[in-house]
Amino acid sequence: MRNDTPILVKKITALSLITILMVGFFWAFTEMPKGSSVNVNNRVSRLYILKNVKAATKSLNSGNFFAKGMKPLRSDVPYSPITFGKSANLEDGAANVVTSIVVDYRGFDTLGEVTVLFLAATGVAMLFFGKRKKNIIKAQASLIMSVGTRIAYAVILLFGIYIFVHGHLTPGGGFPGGAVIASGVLGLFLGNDHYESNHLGLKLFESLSGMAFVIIGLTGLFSVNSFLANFLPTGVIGDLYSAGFIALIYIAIGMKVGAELSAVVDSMIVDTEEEWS
Amino acid sequence: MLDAFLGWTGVVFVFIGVFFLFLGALGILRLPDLLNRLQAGTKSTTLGVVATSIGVGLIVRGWILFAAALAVFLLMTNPISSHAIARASYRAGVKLYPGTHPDKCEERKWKLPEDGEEK
Repeated sequence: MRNDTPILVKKITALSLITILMVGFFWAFTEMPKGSSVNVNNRVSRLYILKNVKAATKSLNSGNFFAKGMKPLRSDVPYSPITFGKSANLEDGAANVVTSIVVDYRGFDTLGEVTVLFLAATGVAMLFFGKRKKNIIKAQASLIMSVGTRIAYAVILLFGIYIFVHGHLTPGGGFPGGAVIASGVLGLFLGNDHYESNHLGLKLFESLSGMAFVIIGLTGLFSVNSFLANFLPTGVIGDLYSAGFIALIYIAIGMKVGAELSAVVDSMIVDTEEEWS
Repeated sequence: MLDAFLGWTGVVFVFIGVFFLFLGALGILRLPDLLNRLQAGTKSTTLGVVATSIGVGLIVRGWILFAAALAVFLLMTNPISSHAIARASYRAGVKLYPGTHPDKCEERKWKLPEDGEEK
């Protein structure tokens, strides 16, 4: 549509576009499932929502937790009270309830959070771009720092990996694990004079782990008919190999956050012109 | 017998750690300038936290590995961070306590070693 098009034609085109959009919205909303046709009680999340623990345990013990007409999600496992280290009947099998909420029930939201962090890292890199390529002698770190940070880096890396691998068992997860790894990289930058990070490796790591997150979600879409749904056996609560795909997703998030925050630290380190006093 | 012995040893360790943590807090409150406070904070909290975690590991026997790992990590990183803070603060020109008599760093003038020279 050019500039010399009559204004009436423009208005008619805009009106028809808006009409099509509105009809589309209306159609999409009426096609959504109605509340009564979805059996919300099918999910074990009712156990978490029921705040009265005593009443929940009592009804579980007496075997009438489900009202009439409801069916449990998994009929192969008998229902029983949840016990750490023994139970296998939960929907996701995570010992850490918060992790099961964050990664399993709200996995799509977590994907958005990772994207927010990615945008923040990109903004920081744009702000500081090109400011550190000066040939100025940085104030030299002492021998204690340069040796000690290199030894501590290995331990910190191991600890970060421990945090995000045990995200479904302990109060931890991908985000704190990645932050711990980035703190180790910060130590390397502070302790060594001419330390250069592998930019290509960081970018590759970050992109691949982000892709792994989406690929795990798509696997759930194809196998269980829901994006980011659990498609692995849930195991026994409290084991390392339990909780289905939560550990996989947290490994992906941890690697992504670690690489992103390391890139942020890398772009924020600016060589100073400070002289020794 | 062994359990009781190890448990009471752990209690003694925890009390030693608590005592040194208290000394660290007292030093941070009472000492005059940054370097003195840093010394009190670092030395006493290193020993205090290490002794406390070892004591907890002795009391609850399943946690001894975690406690040992924590102790090794603290022994490795706490002095390094304290050293870095002290060095940076001295170079940034934090004023010393007037009673600090032999200031060896002042005598050395903190020369910047040239490239290729021995540190």
